[in-house]
Amino acid sequence: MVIFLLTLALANPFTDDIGDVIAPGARKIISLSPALTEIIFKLDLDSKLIGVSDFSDYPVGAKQKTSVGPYTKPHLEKIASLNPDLVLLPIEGPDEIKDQLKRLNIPFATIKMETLDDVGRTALNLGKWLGKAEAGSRFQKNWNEELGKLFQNTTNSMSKPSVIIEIQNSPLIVAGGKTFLDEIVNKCGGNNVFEKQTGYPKISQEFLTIKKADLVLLADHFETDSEKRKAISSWSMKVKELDPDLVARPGPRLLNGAREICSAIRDFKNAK
Amino acid sequence: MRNRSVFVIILLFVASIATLLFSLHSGVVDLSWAEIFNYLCGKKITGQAALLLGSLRLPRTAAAFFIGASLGTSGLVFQTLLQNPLAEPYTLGLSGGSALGAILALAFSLEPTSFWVPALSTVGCVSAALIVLSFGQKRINLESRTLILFGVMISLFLGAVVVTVISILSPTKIQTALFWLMGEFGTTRDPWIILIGPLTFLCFVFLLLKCPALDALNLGETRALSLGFSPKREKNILFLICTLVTALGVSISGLVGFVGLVSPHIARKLLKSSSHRDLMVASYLTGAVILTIADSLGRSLTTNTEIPAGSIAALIGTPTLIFLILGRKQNASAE
Repeated sequence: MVIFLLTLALANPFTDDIGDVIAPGARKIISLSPALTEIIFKLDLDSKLIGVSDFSDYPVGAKQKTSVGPYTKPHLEKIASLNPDLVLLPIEGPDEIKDQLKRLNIPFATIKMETLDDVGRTALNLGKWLGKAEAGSRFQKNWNEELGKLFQNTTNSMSKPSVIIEIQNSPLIVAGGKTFLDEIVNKCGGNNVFEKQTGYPKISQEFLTIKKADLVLLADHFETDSEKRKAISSWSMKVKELDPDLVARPGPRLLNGAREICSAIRDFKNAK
Repeated sequence: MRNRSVFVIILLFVASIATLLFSLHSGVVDLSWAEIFNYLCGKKITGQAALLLGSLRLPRTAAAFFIGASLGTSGLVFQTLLQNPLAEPYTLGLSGGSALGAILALAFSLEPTSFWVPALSTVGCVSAALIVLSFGQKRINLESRTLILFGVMISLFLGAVVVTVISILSPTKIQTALFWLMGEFGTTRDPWIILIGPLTFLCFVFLLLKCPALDALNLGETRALSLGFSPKREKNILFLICTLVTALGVSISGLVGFVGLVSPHIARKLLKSSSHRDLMVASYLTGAVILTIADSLGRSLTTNTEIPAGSIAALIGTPTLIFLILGRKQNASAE
């Protein structure tokens, strides 16, 4: 068995982000993340996409794909009935889904999308696995170039405004360290107030007021409360709303999200 | 009266078979009755239908059936032992204990979760029952009001601990924990039913043999003593068996409330009898039917996700019970 797996691994260089071997050339794929869905469309692989998770609403074509439910609890019968060759799972998804897919012998790939590099690398991998290696490689090259251009003039700046990116208001969740948003803030010349707390920590409103950031960026999908905005304005120097679809999804549109964040930090610096 | 009992039990048995078939047929993917019957008869069917039936629908149908049956049976025994119509398997703090075990398995990321969540929830459930019983022993010989009081207190305390632990879990773990607390089927825990189903059935057979003791306890402890039963001994045995049955069931499904409360009442209304042998069989089948139907509806009503079986059970069970109670009162006043 060990020899067989070793031979398989040597013969097939494709592995996902947790080291599981991926069989190339899948023709029927299901994406359980809106960001992955966007990358698949960007690589012109949408003809292979037979199912998507809820909130996969971009581009327009994604809305026409069969929905298999939320990624946290997809409808397993629906996935099984679509008979996919490959299911793409975000790494942060519950282990229960992976265990269920294993039990049903449905192949899946676990994908990490935590840093900016991960986005380009995922596009490259998907291109290789699904027969569009060139498109994947082109995406990664373009991704790196555009980000490089964006961050070129901001990294050496001396003054670094403190920034909070609020992902959700109730409960209050912010972008912490080791996330692509933390990376963007740093590379745009800001300083993420919650960089020492990794991931997306849940914090108290009081703690937020103690931190007194120079700039608060709101990327809350579910709430644009003017009262809350006023309250934050009383202790923060500047508040700006961001398009949550652009900044919360580690997909192709994150480039525009990064531009929004950089522009907010630059405007703050210029206004000082 | 005997004829009525036989008729009702046959009716419930037929309803159980129909419910099992309904459950195998329910789901977002249409399977023909021919495919289902061929599968059950061991004949060859298409790969996709075999996958859906064998790996998904059959384990969850069996799980819903046996767990519903277990909750129905233990609900009846707890109502008799505690002499309280509101008693159910969770009255003695069993839900709190199970929940704490399951949530701790999630909090400490014990792998594989499909083993550790059920294992720790079983340990938690049995431990909570033992704590309540040991408190109860120190007071007046397992007196029912004292037991209920301790049970409610332990339940509240463990519930608070559960909420505290949940508040520090990561968002994905919170989601898993919440679904467990709502009672769900269709998880990787379902296949455990191949082991737990027969175990709970054996417990049911044991409880059936204990029906004379239950009939005696129903008349009061003094009467039970005069009939040759030791109330304390019988209560201890019955409590522990019912705790085990509940713990095993809950370990697969998570907390399914209501079924244990309502099944014995429906059985009593249908049978109009106080014989525990008849009530036990009827509660077993009623619990099984309610939870199997609830799970079937929960996975068919919406196309993209599933509604937890526990909430559907309450949605269909409450009006059914109210209807039965009102129907009986109207009959009584007409007479």
